[in-house]
Parts: sequence; C-alpha cells; structure tokens
Amino acid sequence: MTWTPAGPSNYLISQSRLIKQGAEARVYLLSSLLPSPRVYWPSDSQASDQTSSSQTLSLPKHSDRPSPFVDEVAYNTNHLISALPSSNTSTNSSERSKHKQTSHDEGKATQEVILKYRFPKTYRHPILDASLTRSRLAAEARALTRCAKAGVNVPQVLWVDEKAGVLGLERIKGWSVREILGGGAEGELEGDEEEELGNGEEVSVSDQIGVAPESPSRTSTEGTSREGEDARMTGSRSTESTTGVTAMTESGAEWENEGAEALRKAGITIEGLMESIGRELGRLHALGTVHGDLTTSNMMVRLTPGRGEQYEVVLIDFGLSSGGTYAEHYAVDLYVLERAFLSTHPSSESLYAGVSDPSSFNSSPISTYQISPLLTITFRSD
Amino acid sequence: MESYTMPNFPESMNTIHLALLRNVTNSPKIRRRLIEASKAMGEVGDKLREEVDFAFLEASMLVSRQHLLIAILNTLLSSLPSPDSSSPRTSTHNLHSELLLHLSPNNNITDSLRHHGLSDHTTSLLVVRLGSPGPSKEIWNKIEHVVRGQLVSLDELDRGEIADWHRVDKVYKLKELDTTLRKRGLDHGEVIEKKRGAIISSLAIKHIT
Repeated sequence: MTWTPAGPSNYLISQSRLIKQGAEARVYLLSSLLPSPRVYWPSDSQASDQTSSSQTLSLPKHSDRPSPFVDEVAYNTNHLISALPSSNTSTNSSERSKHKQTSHDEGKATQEVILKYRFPKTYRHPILDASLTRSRLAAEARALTRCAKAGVNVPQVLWVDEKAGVLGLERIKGWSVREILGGGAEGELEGDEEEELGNGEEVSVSDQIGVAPESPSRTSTEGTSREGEDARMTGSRSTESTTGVTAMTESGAEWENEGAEALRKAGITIEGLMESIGRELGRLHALGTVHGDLTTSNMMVRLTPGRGEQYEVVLIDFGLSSGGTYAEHYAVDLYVLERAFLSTHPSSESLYAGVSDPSSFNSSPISTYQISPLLTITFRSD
Repeated sequence: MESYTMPNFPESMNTIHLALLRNVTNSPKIRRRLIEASKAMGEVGDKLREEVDFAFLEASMLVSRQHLLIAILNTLLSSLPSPDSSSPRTSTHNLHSELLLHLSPNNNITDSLRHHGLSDHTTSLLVVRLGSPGPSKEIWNKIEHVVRGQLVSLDELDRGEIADWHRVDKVYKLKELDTTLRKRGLDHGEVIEKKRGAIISSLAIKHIT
C-alpha cells in the first residue's frame, strides 16, 4: 500500500527518488522543483552586443530529467544561442566563472530538493490524522525558519504543501556526522542517502545494529513531545546495550569513509568538529528551541571551502522540535544526543565530552543553567 | 526572458514568464498606466488591464533568482482553485498582486505594493506573468510595449548588483541576523548567503503563518 499526496506535490514525488522510509514520513530526493526554463531572447533587443565565447554561460543548467515541454517550444535553439544577451565582454565572463566557483548554490533553478511526505496513518482516525499532520508540518517549517532567521545552520524551506503533507527542504550537500564517525555497521552502504530528514531515525539506528525496531516507542510520540523524548531515551538505552560494532578506534578514529577523508584533507579534526557541533547546538538552544531528535545522523557537515572554518555543521530534521520551557528540556535534548553518541559510536565517550564542553556553549546563555539538570538526568537514568 | 511550464499545476496557472529589465526609464509612466487601467470601466478597462496584466516587481528587493521562484511557487501553491472552480483562490484581486503580497513579510497589501511593487524610482524591474501556457514571444511583445528598458539575463539577480540590501534588511527585518553573523566572523559573501536563506525560508512558510 503506497500513499501518494494530492495536488501539485504528487507529481513532484513521482519525479523523485525515495531515500528513506520512516514511520512518520517518507523522504524523497528531487532534482528540482521546477522544470528547466525555456529561454527566449528577442533578436532585436537592445541587448544584442554579445560575444559568442561567453554566451553558453548564460544558459540555465538543465536537469537530467527530460523536459516534458519540448513539443511546445517552437523556438529554434540556434536562434536562442545567437540571440543571447548582453554585456558579456571577456572580462565579464571570467568574473562570472569566478563567481560560480565561490558561490556553491548558483544555478538555483535546478537546486536539489528533499521532499518529506507525512503520509496518512491508517491507525488514526482520519480527521485526527489530518490535523496532526498539518500541525506537525507547520511546526517543523516554522522551527526551521526561526532558526534560519537567528543564524542557526539549517536547511532552507522551499515548498510547503500543508494540504498534501509535503515539505520541501534544501538538500544539504555533505555527510552526516554519523557517516564521518563511521557509525553503524551499514554506514558505508547508506552512504549518500544520509541526508535523510525522516523521523524514524531510531528505527534505522536499531536496524543498523541489529535489534528489533522500536515502532512501539515511535507510536508513543503521538502524545506530547515530552513523551516522545522519553520514549526516545528508552529506545536509545535498549539499543546501547546490544551494540557491538565499531568502525572507530579509541581516540585516533580511523578516517575511512568519503566524508571523513574530505574533512581530513581540509584539515579538520574530529575534536574541532565536536566543538562546532556544540556551538551549533548552543545557538539552537539559545534561541529557545529544543531539537527533540538529536542524533549524529541529524547533523550534516557541509564543506565551505575558502570560508571561515572551511566547513559548517547543519542541523536537520526538526520534526520533533518544540520550544523549551524548562532547563530540563534542553538537558533532555543533550541527553538524547549523548545516548545517540554512545549507541551509534561506542568508544566515543571522549567525543561527546567535546560536544558538551561548556566552552562550546560560550556564546549562549545556557551554559550556566544547562549543565546541572543534565547531570541530574544522567544520574536519574542510571 | 525565461518561461517555466509546470505539469503539476492546473492549466490556468501553470506557466511562469519572467523578464528582468535594467535601466528602465519610464517607471512613472508605467505606474500611471497601471492606476488608469485599474480605474477604467467596461470594455475599455478590460483592454487596458489586459495590456498591463503582469506583476511589476521592484528588482532591487529581490536577492536571488531562488527568492523569486520560491515566492512564485508558494503563491501558486496557496492559491490553488477549490475543486468546484477554475479560478485561483486569492486574498487579493489576482495572482499577480497575490505574488506581491507573498513577497511581503506581513499581510498588508499596501505595504507589499510599496515595498515590492513598481515605484517612480524603479530602474530595475522584474516583470512576471502567471497564467496559462503561451509563446514567450507574445508575452515579450506585450512587455516591450509597456516597459522601456534593457532585457538582461535573470542570472544578474544572483550576481548581487541589483539587490538593495539596506532596504531588504529593513523590510525583512534582518538587521539582527546581519549583526549576529558578522560578530561570528563570517565574511560578506557568507552573510549574504545566510540572509538569502532566511528570506527564502520565511517566504516559503508565508501561507501557513
């Protein structure tokens, strides 16, 4: 039984590739929200003093998907190329190509998009289901926007189809922290599909280390988010005890996957990465937002060559996020992350210490009040 | 000039025509024409309105091609006609003014016209036509009759020469973000990228806020 969304999103999903099946949502990768444009240049435009060498640069990039509109296009391609505009002296064109190298998201018309489809749940009453789906989708989109406006690194929101339950997000080109740390037995296999934004992360965590999926605990997140977090903790705890796989050695950590390799080449250390994660979480929490599902696969590392630290940590999957009212909410967030670290990356205790090092949180006001509830919660769980 | 036809929207609203014009010299005249067309009655009025049936956007308020496209897509998505009708469901007069409203951070139609619409001082103009499929040439001929300016590639939006960031920051309330990012030591290009992202995200969720 496969559900498909109604309306415009249906077509988008049919054009995309399923990359993750979760209990709450399915995640798809789409090459572009829009088809390639037809480009028209009037031959008698004032802007016709072009040189032929640089014209191709102005042509929009084409997606590999064949355009369904070819038959409508009556314009001769040669004509288009010869009538391309304007202002392209050779200096201009070299300037432009330089620009292309530095700005990694040029050609935005064909930007890749992650579609997160919250399909109808048959175990719920349809009316309740529709209302829950809508409110969660809206909450996720709003949380992402709030973060973006405050300077927390999150994917851009591009498409919000509330009726169909489809959210379109920027695809982060990079690797999840989980991949980089070599977490999970199937780490390599999952490889380029880690950009997942699905909610069923704990299911896949359990899959990877070979214990029964936690679908009951996922179902219990239907309740309050607090309940969800509790369920989450139980899940992490039970999986932790059965972990036996590790791709990492003590502190040195073997850099054996593509992401880790790229980071090493850029001169980034694991310790530095952990501090960056801590900083990013600090920014998120300073904003009064709790992520709700902090795991190493919900953090992406994107290289930004030639800029700042050469990379940035991007937080993804805000499906379980909420506002944090009490210090304890933030502490639970960190506790979940600690558990996720321990279960996905055994022998990583020293790494998590890097994340939660109060110095990482320097920039945020939480450093003072957060640490003590965290200790309490850790104590309570043992 | 660029045209997109999207198979996933109803035919009455599945085509986007975009033309970016620089060095526009007759903005006050276009604006007068728009006002006249909106006041005229009867058949004459219909004809006048048909001639200027475009969204005339102040291009200096557009920070990237993506900014424009995401605003358009989400405008169309939120104006989908109800099952028993074929005309778009909009809170303003038509899809074009709806796009202006969607670009605006609040729900005030006058504000949206003032910030994102054509003004007497506009020199960079983005002309948008939303509607049913048709040859770009015809659309261009209509635009040519209204606007005196130089047609350039939409890539110019991404090159960052057109956007008036001072005004953009003010309208989209990005000063705080700007300060935060600069304090963090990000260079100018990075700050611009992040601000573009923040604008796009807030536009995309406009219809659910």
